[in-house]
Amino acid sequence: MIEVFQNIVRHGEDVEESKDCFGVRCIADGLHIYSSNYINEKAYTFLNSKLKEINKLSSEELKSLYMEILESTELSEKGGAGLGLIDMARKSGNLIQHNFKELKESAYQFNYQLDISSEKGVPLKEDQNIDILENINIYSNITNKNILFYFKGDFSKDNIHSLLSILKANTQNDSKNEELNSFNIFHTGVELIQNISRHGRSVNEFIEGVFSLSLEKGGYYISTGNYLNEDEISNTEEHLLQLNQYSIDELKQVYLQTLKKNALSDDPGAGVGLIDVRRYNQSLIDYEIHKYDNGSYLSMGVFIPIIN
Amino acid sequence: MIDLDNFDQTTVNFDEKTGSLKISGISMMEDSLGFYAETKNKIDTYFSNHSSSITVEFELTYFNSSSAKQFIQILSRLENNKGSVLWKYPKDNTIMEDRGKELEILLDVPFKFIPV
Repeated sequence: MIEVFQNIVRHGEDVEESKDCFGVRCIADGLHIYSSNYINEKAYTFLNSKLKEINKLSSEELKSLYMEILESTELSEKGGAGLGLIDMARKSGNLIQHNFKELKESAYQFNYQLDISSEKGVPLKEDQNIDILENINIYSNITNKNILFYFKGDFSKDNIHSLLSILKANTQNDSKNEELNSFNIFHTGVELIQNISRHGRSVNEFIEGVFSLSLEKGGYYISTGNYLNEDEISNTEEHLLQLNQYSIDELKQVYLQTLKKNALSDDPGAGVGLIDVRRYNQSLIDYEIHKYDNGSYLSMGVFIPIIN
Repeated sequence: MIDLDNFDQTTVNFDEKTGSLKISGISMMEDSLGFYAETKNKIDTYFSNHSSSITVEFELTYFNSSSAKQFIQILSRLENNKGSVLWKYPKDNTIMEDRGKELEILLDVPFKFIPV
C-alpha cells in the first residue's frame, strides 16, 4: 500500500490541474489498491516501458531482476530503476494493471492497480479480479461529484481517528475564522461517524457504513449512510423531521433541554449530536430512509459552510 | 487547535487527598460512559469519606456530545455546595468557552473561566 502511495509522490506532477487519487477496495478474494495521478512525458516513458517489461516476467525472473538492481549502484534520486514496481509485482503475483490517458501534449493521467490475493502466493483468477476500468470509472464519478474522500466499511472498529485525520487534512482553511470552521468540520465528522457506530445495524459485529466528504461552493458536504435497526427507524425519522423544523435561535435551547433531560439516563449517548451538527453549521440535515429487501437504509448529509 | 496527534490523550487525574480533579486534552472517545465510570466512582467514594469539596479543572481543546453528558454526570455530584469548576480554554477559542458556559447553565455549580 505504501509503495502504491509513494508511486504517486515519486512520479506525480504537482501541477494545478493535477487530480490524484488513492483507493483501496477489499473484496472477498483479494485486496485491490488503485492510484491515479498526473505524470509528465518522462515519467510516462519510464513507467510505460518498465511496466510492460515487468508484466512479461515470471516470478523467478522478477526476483532475479530485483536482486540485480539492488546490487547495482545506479539508483536515482526517485528510488530508481523501478525497484518499487518490481517489488509490488513480486508481492502481488498478478499482472500490474495500468492505463495511461493522454490529457494534453506531454501530460498523462496514469492509472495503476495492484491486485493481491487473500491467499498468499496464489494469483487471483480472472473472475475474482476487478478490471482497472471499473476503478477508473468510479474515480471519474467521484471526481465529477467533487468527492474528496469516500469510505465504505466497518464502523464497529475504532477507525474514527484515521477518518478524522483524513477529514482534517483535506479541509485545511486559512480563513479569518479558521478556529470556528475547523471546529465545525471536525465536530460534524465526529458526531456523524459516532452516530453510525452507535445506531448503525450490526451484523456479526460488523456495522456497515459509508462516510464521504465533498467540496461544494462555499464549503464542504459530509454524507453518511448506514442500515438502521428496525426498532430505531420511527424514532430516527421523527427526530430528524423535528430537528429540521427548529429555527437556528431555538436550537441552543433545544440542545440545553435535551442534554439536561438525557444527562441522567444510562444510555451512552447524550442525544444531542445531531442537534450540534444542525446548530453549529446552521444547515438543515438532508436525509432519506430507503427500504430495501435487506433492511432500512439511512442516508444523511449536511452542508458545512466555510465562514470567511 | 485540535491536536491530531493527541486524539487518545484524554488525561484524567484525581487527587483523592486534595479533592482535585483535572480533565485535559481531547475528550471524544466512543465509550465515554465506560471511560468516565471510574472517575464518577472515585468522586462518590471521596464524598462518602470526606466532607470537603472537590475542584474540577478542565483544560480541553475539544469534547464530543457524549462527553458533555458525562461532564454533567460528574459535575452534578458537586451540586449543593460540594465543589466548583475551573474551566480553562484556549485563549481566543470562543467555542470552547461557550461550550463550558452551556454546561454552567445546566448545573448549580460555580464556574470560573480562565483563558490560557
